[in-house]
Amino acid sequence: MTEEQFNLLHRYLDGAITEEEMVSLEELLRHDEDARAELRSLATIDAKWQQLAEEDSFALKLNEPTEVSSKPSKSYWRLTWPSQIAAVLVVGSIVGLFGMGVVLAIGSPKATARTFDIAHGDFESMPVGSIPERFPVRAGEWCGNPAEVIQEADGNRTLRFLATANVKEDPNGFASNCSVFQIVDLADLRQELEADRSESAFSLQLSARFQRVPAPNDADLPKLKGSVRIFLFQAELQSIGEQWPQVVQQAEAMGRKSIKLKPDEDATISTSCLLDSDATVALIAVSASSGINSRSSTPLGGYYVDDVKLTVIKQPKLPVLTDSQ
Amino acid sequence: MTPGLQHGTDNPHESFLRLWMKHEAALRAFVRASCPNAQEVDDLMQEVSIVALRKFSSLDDHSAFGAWACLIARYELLAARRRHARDRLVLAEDIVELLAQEGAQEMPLRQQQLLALDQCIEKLPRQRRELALAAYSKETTIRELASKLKRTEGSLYQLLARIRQELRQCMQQNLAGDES
Repeated sequence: MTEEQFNLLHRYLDGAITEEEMVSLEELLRHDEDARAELRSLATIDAKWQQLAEEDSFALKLNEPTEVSSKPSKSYWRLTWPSQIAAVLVVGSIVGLFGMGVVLAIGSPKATARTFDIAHGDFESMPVGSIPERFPVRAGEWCGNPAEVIQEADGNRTLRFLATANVKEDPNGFASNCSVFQIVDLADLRQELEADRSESAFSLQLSARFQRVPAPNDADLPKLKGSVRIFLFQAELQSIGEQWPQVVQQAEAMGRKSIKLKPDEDATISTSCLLDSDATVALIAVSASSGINSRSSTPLGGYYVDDVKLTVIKQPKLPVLTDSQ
Repeated sequence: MTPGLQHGTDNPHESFLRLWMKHEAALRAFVRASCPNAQEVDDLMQEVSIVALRKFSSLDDHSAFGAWACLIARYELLAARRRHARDRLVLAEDIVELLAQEGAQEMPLRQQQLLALDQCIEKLPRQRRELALAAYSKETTIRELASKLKRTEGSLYQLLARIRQELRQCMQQNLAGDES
């Protein structure tokens, strides 16, 4: 294959191909078996990066090589954790497919998991009504875009996403998400980690249960998604809100997972990130995204979230071995 | 409380999960080849997994899971292609069919490529690895990343293509080495 032909494949995968180039690419792929095989090989590389980026649980800090190098790489993470645990985390990430609750089965006796209490994770003790429409300024409060705590017929309280908005009210910012945030103080946990003498790796897993119920505007929201995000910072609580969203670039670690639900579906999703003793604050966010790039607010219909949980997973670091899977 | 997974049971959900986890990366690659929009791969994978789970009881031979899931993915790819054909650049249907037919037969090769890729990515200089991860992150766009790195979008795309090309060569060398 010529360099020009390879370039067509790259531009296609980058989503940067022009209409004219697409015609040439189609002509190539239609008649050249090798070109199709090359495309599949390059797509494999692309899909791998996409998967790694999705799973990536540590902060990417370009221009800050020292800090990046202090964090375990993806492969280190994989190799230092027994495959059972890695599998369990993957299971946790797709378990929403089955409408089950969070699956967190620790298959190895060496791994331990425990819930880290966050304020009002189940919304049961929150007053019914709207949450404050602003970024949280202190730990333990749910704040963000238009959302309300509602009480269902069985008495269960849950959070309903009402509409997308820009939490910083930036007139030039997009309003494609309805995000609700909570800042979590990790001071106590940090002390625990520092006191822990074992050679262990810790991670923090955020999970939440999303539910979509039929609403009149469902047809307008084919891309509606629920997501959980967690960011770890070494920072003062107040500074997070003051510098949002740029502060994300300073995160020590982060994780994100999203799921697209159809009306009448529900799912629990989770995401994890590495936890080291430097992190002082976690910012957790549960969101519903309209998938519409707009600066104006979009009503979201029937999208709910409940059972927001943080779990600390402790796993002994093991000698690096060749993964023979 | 949802019970945790237990090994050694005949639970169909558990069997499905194990098979899905084993094949997910190769399936993602299969889907990516025919899906011009990287962001849509997640959506398609989710659709495939939901359909696959629904139909899992009809799969008698679990060793054929990969090829069977490819069939489901092929159907979902064609359906997505039809949905988007009017508003964006998509490959012609006959090409998607060709890519899918051949891709389904290459699933064992895909698995080998993915294993080789792990080693190749490991060998990449750290800065390149981090750049690629940042470029593929949903947290940032290529435009934002280019701006942050004080590069043009075009030069960033070229760099990503070079990284991809290097990995392709490394992957092929590793596989050739395994065969020799």
